[in-house]
Amino acid sequence: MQVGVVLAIKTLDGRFEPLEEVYDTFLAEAVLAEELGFDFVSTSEHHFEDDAWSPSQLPILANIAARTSRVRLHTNIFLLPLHDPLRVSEDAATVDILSKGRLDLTCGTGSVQEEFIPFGVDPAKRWGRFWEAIEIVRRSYAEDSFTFEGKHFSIPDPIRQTTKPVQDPFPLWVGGFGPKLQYRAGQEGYHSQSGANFHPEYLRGLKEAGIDPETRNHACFSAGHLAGSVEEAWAECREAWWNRQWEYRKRTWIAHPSAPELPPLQEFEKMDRPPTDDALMPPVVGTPEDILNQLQPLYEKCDTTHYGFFFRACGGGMPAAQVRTAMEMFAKEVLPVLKTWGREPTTSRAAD
Amino acid sequence: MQAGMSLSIKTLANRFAPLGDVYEMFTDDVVLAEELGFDYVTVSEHHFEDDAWSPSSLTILANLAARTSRVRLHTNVFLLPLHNPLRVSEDAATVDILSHGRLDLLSGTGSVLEEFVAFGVDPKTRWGRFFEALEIIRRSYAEDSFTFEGKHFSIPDPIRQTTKPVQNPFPLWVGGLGPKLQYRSGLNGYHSQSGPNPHPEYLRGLKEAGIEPGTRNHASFTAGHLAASREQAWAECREGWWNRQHEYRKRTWIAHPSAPDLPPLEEFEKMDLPPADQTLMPPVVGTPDDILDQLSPLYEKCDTTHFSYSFRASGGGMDPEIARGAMRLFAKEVLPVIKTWGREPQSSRAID
Repeated sequence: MQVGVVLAIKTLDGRFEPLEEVYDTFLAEAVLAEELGFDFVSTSEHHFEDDAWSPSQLPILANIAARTSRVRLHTNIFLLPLHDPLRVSEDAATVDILSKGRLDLTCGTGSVQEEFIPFGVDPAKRWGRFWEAIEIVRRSYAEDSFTFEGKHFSIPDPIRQTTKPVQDPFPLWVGGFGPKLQYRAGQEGYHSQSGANFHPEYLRGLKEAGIDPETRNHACFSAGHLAGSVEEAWAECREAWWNRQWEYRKRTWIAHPSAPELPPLQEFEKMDRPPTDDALMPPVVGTPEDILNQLQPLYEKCDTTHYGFFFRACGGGMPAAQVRTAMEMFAKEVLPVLKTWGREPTTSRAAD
Repeated sequence: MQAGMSLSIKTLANRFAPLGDVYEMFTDDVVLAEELGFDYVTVSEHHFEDDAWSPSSLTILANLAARTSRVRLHTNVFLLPLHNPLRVSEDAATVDILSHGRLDLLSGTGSVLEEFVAFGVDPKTRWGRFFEALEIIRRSYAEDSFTFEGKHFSIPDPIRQTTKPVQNPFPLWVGGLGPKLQYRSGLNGYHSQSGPNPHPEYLRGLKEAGIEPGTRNHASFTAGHLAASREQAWAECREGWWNRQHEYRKRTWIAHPSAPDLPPLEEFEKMDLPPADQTLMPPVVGTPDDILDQLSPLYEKCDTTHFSYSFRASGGGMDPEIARGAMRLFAKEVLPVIKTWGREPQSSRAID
């Protein structure tokens, strides 16, 4: 499978760093990822977060496009209902053009109430907006001229969205865990992101639409950190991990139940290893061998074509040198093994 | 004054070049412009045009931020009422961060009916939307946390737009020729773009607000082409110029009267020099001396701080080496002279 680095560009609320430096650090990691042989780089998106989680993926990917030449560029994930679909169509096509056809647009419905309200979007309408928007994006690329009449969007007079992406067909992905979402993504033939395998409902959707699953890609990701031992890796990343968990708990989650209360960081500092409670989203940490041992049951035999790893345990504030060391360890000992796992995609592969 | 290069990234409707090539050519021009000593580059925006005029100016500027280090990056102009102001706030701050504080966001109200209809925006609300949107952007940068209640936008619960630009204050500009727009822009203290001098109504607005005009910048621009003679320059750029005029005439203009019918290109091919009729927007063409002679009455003694020139007569389809020859001529003989004209800005200057 293809193996990538997922960037969650952010700082720490309690130790807020200048964003110029934060962005420079993460952009340098995108360049390093290409040098180290990773196949793709993903960005992520949240809005109005106290740790300044980056909100503007397509401009960031446009910048990374200029700094790289081989890695593919993914959104992971693009919160489509918050955006105007024609604007997304234009911006994404622009990134695809600037990167010579290296963009993968993975979209999700969003699940934080506080993100919908400021954008004037009723969260109860996110599903409807999502499917209409992704259809508008798809049709704006596939058709020379089109109109659209939906419940949420209306394009009454024919428009020619002349800024077409380089890739044809352009890779549109749907990411999320909901069975209804996955079923419809399969029916409509989008690529899929979910857990470690195709969601059964996604496969049912594909089957009903008469689409060969081999022609569709599947992405999955996890977060963690690498060092000389499990204990060392955990000690280096737990502040970042804890702060991210803490930020999550400031939000109102509309898609899945809110996480349990988070004990203070000091409590985790007494632990040699990450918590085992899955509700705390423990990071995958350790030596390269530890990482492979944890990932193997999930990914060695699976349908996943694209696997992404959030370094820093998806948090902010870690010294850049520790992250680079972890990336180098991963590239040397984990990457070559992971590339032999899962399934090779027929599309959205890094240039050789 | 600061001298810049305006990009109108586009091709020709009837000789449509691959957009990967088109964008690469224009972004390479920007790298050359920095080498040649231009102070800034501007990117323009239109939507759904048959010549694929680039629609995503901030995405493009994010890419240019990685390819340059000294020139400032301007939008000219950003069609603000078509966009969600919080999204603009985030995207523009991201470009400012990626460029280490080199962005100037110059916004206009838009004037093409077809662009509003496609984005679902009532063109009659564009003035109201425009000033509300600018205020939202300004407050999102100046205030830690804020709410907003307007006629067009509502942010009912306090949000922290934590992705602040590097520059503080961040340079917001208003561009347009309408007296009411200019007056209000002066009252609000935005920088201004219009003809070769600040609009009298803009100055009245500044005065009422007690703002010293020397602290505010003024931009202006023109389009043309340079060659060894006026005849040669006109012959090289008239196809690009004519096609752009032709595209304009496909649109419904709501801000100013539609242009008169355009005679066929063959008619202009019989002419040795550009038409004199100003409604045809004749390009400023010729040798460096010819260009200086045409610009000197307007710009030598004026309050303009930022003047930019759109090569290729703002059209598409020109051989890149011909366009670059014009850039080199301009840089060698026109740029050093016009840098001594007008007024030196106190802010938004290229890095020395």
